[in-house]
Amino acid sequence: MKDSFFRSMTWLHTWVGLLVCWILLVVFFAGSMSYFRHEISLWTKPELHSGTFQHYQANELGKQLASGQTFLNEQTHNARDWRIYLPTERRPYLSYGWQNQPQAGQRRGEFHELIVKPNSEEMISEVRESKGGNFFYRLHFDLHYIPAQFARWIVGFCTMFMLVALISGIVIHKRIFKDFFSFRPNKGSRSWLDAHNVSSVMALPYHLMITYTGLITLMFMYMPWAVVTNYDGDNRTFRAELNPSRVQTKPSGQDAKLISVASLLPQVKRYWGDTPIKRVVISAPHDSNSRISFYRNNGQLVTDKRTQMVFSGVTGELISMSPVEESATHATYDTLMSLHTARFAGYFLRGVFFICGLMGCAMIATGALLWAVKIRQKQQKQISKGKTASFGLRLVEGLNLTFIAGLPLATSVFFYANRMLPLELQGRAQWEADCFFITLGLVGLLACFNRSLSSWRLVLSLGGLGLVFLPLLNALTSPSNIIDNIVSGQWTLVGFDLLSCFLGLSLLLTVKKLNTSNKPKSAAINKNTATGSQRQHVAGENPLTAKVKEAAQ
Amino acid sequence: MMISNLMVLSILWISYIAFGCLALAMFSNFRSTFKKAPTPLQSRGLYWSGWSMLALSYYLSVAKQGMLYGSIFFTGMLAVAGLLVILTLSYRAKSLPVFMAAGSVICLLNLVR
Repeated sequence: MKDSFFRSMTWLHTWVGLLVCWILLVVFFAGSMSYFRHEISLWTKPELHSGTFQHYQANELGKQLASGQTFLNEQTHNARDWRIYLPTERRPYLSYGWQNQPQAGQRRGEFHELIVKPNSEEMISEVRESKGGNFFYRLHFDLHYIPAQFARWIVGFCTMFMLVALISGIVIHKRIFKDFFSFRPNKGSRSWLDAHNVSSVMALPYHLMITYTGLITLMFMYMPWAVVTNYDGDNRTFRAELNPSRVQTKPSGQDAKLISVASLLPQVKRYWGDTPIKRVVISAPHDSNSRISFYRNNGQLVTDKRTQMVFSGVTGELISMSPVEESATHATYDTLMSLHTARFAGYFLRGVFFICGLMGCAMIATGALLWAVKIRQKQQKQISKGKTASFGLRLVEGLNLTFIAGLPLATSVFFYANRMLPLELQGRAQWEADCFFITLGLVGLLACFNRSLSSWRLVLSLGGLGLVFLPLLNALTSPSNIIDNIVSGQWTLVGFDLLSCFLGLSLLLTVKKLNTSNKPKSAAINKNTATGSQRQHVAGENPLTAKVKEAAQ
Repeated sequence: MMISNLMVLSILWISYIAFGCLALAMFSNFRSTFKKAPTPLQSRGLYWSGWSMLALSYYLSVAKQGMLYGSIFFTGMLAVAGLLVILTLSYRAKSLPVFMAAGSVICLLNLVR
């Protein structure tokens, strides 16, 4: 009985893991990159790299809000809302934005944003069109090219598989404590298994947390029945009850004079003290139903809630304030959400999360490679007799090459596209994303014809070179290079350059290691098995480093 | 509640030492590092110092950054420290005690200060 239980768990782990591992890899990779969403967005907009950075200054607040209101009042006509974004640690600049009235049939109107230079009235409006970090953020749960709703179901399905694979993996890992520190390199499939175990076990709390909370983030979509039953399927009423401050009031259509936003500051300060404000949103300006909302910068509080104060835009009366008293369920949900999004994380914790995310990528990649290595060993006899490998094996090896080696390359291509596509190109932001997928497609095409070590080497070294030269690209295509950034203390930009350089170098080092470690091996082994063991080696070295590199950006 | 860079480094290194002790408490790791078998006393000593270092690291994380944030931070640090210990053991097994000792000096200097 015990044996059959163990065996069925192993079966479950193998097949549940294999079936969706490439989508999971993309999701994990994109998720890890999303920890640096704002940082990537900043890097992809070199127009903002000089003369815009400023810190949050409480004593400048009144002035900034007043000039923002004046500016928006003059520049916009019949806007749906105005927004004033104050500088934060991760978005270190002041900007004014507005949303036009939505076109018929659309939920949101066109959004514009202008970045304000510190201590002046000057604005930067010519910012290139780019998705930046939001590309990876959306890729994480919306994938691309397919309707978001559909994509979220796919991702949710894969996440469920991931959870099953994680739990069955813990069950079948008999030596979880004995092998806690074991990684034996250069031992063929043993090394792969070790790498798989190490990347899983070391970050196990993270993997379980991120997978489970990932399901929670979209739980109202996956399991809507409670809302359907209790609110007759009216999601909006449900949300409104959950968080009254997020209710959007409809404009009345009657004109009324908007009060000065800055005049509300003393009231805000009475409740929040000197806690920084993140942004101010004025909805339906100059309407008798207009609202002015202040959002607090929650810093390192472990919460994903928006803490806000809503005032009437006409009378200045305080209408609602969050957080309202919350139930235990709500608090639990909020904590789980915040753990997933890690919006509270400071730079160090963010980096740690990122490393854990990369270990997740490594776990998935090594698992997929391990499967291919094992099956190839099984089929070795037939293959050496001149038969071709089974279709399943070829498919898995091809997908491994495409996604494991292709993702870092595609990522570096994304950043090159960001800097090199002509600025006036129609649909430029979409083209950047297209370049990412075209690269993946090309690697996939290569994988159709040649899945050998040389392909791995080619794709990985291209990706590595691409990443290593990103700082150079940045120096050539932005107003400041890495030295300037170090001098002026722009650590976000410096960090991006250094990390991509480091990841690129480690990728190249892997390729080099592949070359040297492979030669004596293939000579030592007899001809028949040489291809198999070679393949193992190549794949083994690659995925780990590849993952790490990808994530770094 | 901001935490200084040096403090982060200390917590990371304490976790590294903790995992290093726990790894050395195991027969095979001890042998590959020191080229001899550990005595039972050594094993037990390493085992318990490993756990107490872990406790110290958790205490520091929580004391410096609050219960919630500190706990999350500690869990994340464990993953990184564990990974570093494994890499050391796989490629530089003999240097593990050296790294641990060098780390403890830095940590002590920082904590005493």
